[in-house]
Amino acid sequence: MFSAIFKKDFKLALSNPMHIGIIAIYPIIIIIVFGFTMRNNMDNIYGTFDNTKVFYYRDNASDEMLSKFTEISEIISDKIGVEFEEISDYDKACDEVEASKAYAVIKIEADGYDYFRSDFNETYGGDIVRTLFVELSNNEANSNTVVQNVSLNIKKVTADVYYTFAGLGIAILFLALVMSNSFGRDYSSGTIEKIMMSKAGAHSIILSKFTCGAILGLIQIAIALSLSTLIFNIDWNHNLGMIIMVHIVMLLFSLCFGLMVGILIPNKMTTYLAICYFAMLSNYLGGSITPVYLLERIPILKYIIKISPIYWTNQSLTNLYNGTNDSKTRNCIIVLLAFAVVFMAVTFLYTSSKSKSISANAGYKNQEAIQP
Amino acid sequence: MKNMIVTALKLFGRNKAFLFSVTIIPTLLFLLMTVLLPYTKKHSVSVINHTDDKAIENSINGIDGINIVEAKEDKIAELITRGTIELAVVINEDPETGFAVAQIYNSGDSEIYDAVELAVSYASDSSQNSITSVNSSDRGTHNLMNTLPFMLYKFIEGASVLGAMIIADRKKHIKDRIMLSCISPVTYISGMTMVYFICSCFGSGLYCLVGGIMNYDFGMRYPIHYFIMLCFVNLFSASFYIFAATLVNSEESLQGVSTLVLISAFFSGMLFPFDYMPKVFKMIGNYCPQRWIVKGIENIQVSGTFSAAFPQIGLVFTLTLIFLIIGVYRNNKIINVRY
Amino acid sequence: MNIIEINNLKKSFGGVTAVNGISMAAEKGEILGMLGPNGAGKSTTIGCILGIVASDSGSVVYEGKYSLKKWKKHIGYIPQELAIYDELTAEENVSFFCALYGGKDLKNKVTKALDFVGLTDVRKKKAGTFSGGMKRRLNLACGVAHNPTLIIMDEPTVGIDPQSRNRILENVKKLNENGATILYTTHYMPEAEELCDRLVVVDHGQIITAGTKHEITSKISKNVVTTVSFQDDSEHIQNIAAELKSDNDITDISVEENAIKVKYAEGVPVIKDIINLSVTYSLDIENIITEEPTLEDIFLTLTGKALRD
Repeated sequence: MFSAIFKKDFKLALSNPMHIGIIAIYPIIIIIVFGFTMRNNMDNIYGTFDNTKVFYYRDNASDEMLSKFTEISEIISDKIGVEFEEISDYDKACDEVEASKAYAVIKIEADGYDYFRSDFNETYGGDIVRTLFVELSNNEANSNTVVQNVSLNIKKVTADVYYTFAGLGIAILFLALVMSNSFGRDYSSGTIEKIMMSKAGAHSIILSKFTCGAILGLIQIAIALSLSTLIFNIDWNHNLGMIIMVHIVMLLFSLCFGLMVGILIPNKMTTYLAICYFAMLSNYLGGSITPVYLLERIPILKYIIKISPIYWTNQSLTNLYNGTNDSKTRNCIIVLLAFAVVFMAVTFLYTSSKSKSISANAGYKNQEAIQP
Repeated sequence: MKNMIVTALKLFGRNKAFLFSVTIIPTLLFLLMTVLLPYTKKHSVSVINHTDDKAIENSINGIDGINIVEAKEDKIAELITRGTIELAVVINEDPETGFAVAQIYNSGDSEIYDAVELAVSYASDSSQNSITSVNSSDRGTHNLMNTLPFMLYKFIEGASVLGAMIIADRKKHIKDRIMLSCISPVTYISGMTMVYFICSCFGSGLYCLVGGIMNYDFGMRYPIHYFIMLCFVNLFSASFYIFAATLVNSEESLQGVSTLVLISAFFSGMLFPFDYMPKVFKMIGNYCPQRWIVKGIENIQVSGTFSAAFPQIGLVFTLTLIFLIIGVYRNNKIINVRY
Repeated sequence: MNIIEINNLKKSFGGVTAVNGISMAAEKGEILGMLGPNGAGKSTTIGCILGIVASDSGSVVYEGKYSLKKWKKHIGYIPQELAIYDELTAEENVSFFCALYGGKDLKNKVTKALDFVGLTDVRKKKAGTFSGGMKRRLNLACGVAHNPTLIIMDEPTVGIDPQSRNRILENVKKLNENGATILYTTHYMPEAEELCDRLVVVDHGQIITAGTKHEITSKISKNVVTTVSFQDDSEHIQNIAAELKSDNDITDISVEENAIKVKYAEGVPVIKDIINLSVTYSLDIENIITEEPTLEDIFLTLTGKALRD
């Protein structure tokens, strides 16, 4: 009986092209497109100081100012790679600065420097160089300061890895749609009452749909992680098992949520909208589209994103990828499982009461039929 | 013509959905997308100061062009792993020497490590007058360019209302009535287009005004140039939908055309910065009019002069003319009376 | 003089011939009706006349010498669809379409047109709030506000209540009385009969017959059928039937319960005879229904086929 229901649910789930999209195509598209696209952005490679220079111009410069300037320019040039070029036409140089040909024109005068920068299109690199020049011109190297380079041996999350998690997150959450859709179809065709009244019973329905969703979800996870490994050559390290575990827990959360919404709301359109909005909002807040490190910089939003289940899994997955298995992962798993249990409990309670009332009605009708 | 313009004004003006979609909605979407698309090329740094001496902390905080993020010391590794920050400077005091020890935490390949190190090395709390004077700048604080491709999509797609009106006129035979009168087909199309253009430019102006009020950085000497570029977009959008209205028979079918606009917007950098897109995507994007406009605006920003955008304006204008000519021709085809 | 002359007009859409060599003319000051079922080619013919549809061959000449380009400002067009803007008021609609033709005294023309169709009271209301009948009247006003010489109306009374239809028909007659020539298409015979001076019957893009109503109906040797119902069922009804049978002009008589059905040639005073006989036998007549030859009958007679919808 269970296998009959399961076969039916599995066939119907795969017959809908949208479900195939959710299971297979969406994660692949997000992983590949975003993975390649966001590489440079997530590696913080912006070309901040690429191909840049600063002009300088002598305007009755004193020897003191000139030698100080030489010193400063050599330091900045060595450290950052910005070229300093002397010019003879100050006005032309100003025009070229405004045409982004250089960061600035520094006029070396008798008692100081005049730093001319564009007032409308100065770049971030220009901002940094300007600040450094001003500081270096006013201060000497502080011999009371010790600077230490602490290079952390960490595996930074690259775009490939990040969007593997993101793509899977989107796909797994949308799997709830497949679940609710399955209930919606049973409601609209009236088969749900028939099954509840049969020997199979209400719980078989839930179990069948859950099993169906679980299999599809596992296929999703397998496809996404395999593809990522193949295309991007990612080294998942010794925490791969935990990474998969977190995804499975996310899957359980999604399935139980979809089942609950599907059984409580008979209207297909309403469930579709409810799950879509929830999934889109959770995914956005969790950083599935815009990376979470950008969202964390926005006031107020940096607190709101913490309510998203995708944010919790994102946090724990990035830690696991980096080799850290800490409380974040444990808390994420516990909370998601707790929610899944609650959703499942609600689903079971509701189907039990619904199936009792259907049986009671059927019994009453039978009694009526028996009476003359 | 005056009659056409007055009537078109009334028709557009009484279409509440159109008014909203051209005026209020773009501005609201602009504000929303600023939050949804907060891409930036600013490097992020954290400073954790365990001493009373503020010199190093102030020096780093004073670096223009970087973003200072608050962080706890035990979260540094996690934040760097996730990319939330690039560097973290932890300032302690050496108990033996009393020297300030600035540890710069990083993952190894930061573009700004050397700059930060320099700033730390030359940090001082002396308050002497600066010998370097810098000219002032009133640049905005928020980045406008992130949302530009999305806004261009919105402005272009907004002309679907114009296309729908042309189709509705055709279906209801209003156009036939008009064509039987002394009005030429060109006057009919021009009248409606002119009114749409004015309304859409008003919407673009509102968007620019809100951007200016909320201190968005136009990156241009004269922000009016930004508005002028948007006017070219509005002209292009009108001509595109005049043409599209001759290809389809119902208002609903125009949605298919809008999907095309959406796809080209995607390749122009609507969802994420164009510079980061794969080569293939960029190649496709370079053929999209939205990308030409963005490139034109970028050229104005970089060069400081409006003439830098002439090549892109030329391309857009040429395409506008082509769509307009073909659109008007196709609209008139049946009315080319031969008796 | 013919206001409009159409010569051998032809138009095909793909493999379907919509207009197949239609030739006709409308004299100045007459109401010419174009009668035919849906899909006969009426609207396509109108479209070709007005240049909305490019014909494959044939010619249309106005006032003996003018082309459409030179003469179109004298045409008023009332399409089957409601070619009005729902967002504009009645006054704004009429004003817009009238102003397209230029000329002076726009306000007066607008007022006259609205008055003509009985929409003066609602001139400031948006057309979108009107009933179907009011929209049709506004549609008419928009087409005639500029005082055209030739008015082409393509099924202007489709889908409206009888009261509004009657109003429109009255308006059409008034327009004609004021000197306008009217080309009126319809698939509703009684309307054509009531309005038109001459009729052109079309089907499958061709003219089946043309002429005045009397000329056309005389081509049909169809009898009139009159059913007389009496209040009580009485044996005298049989007596009346027996006496009527002797009349040679009556083709057939049948008695059904309390009614007599009589078939006879048009013009024969059968009803008068039945009334006289009813008085003789003291029978009270409840109802007299006479069935006229319908378009269906014309088609059946002329084409041998039933009228299709």
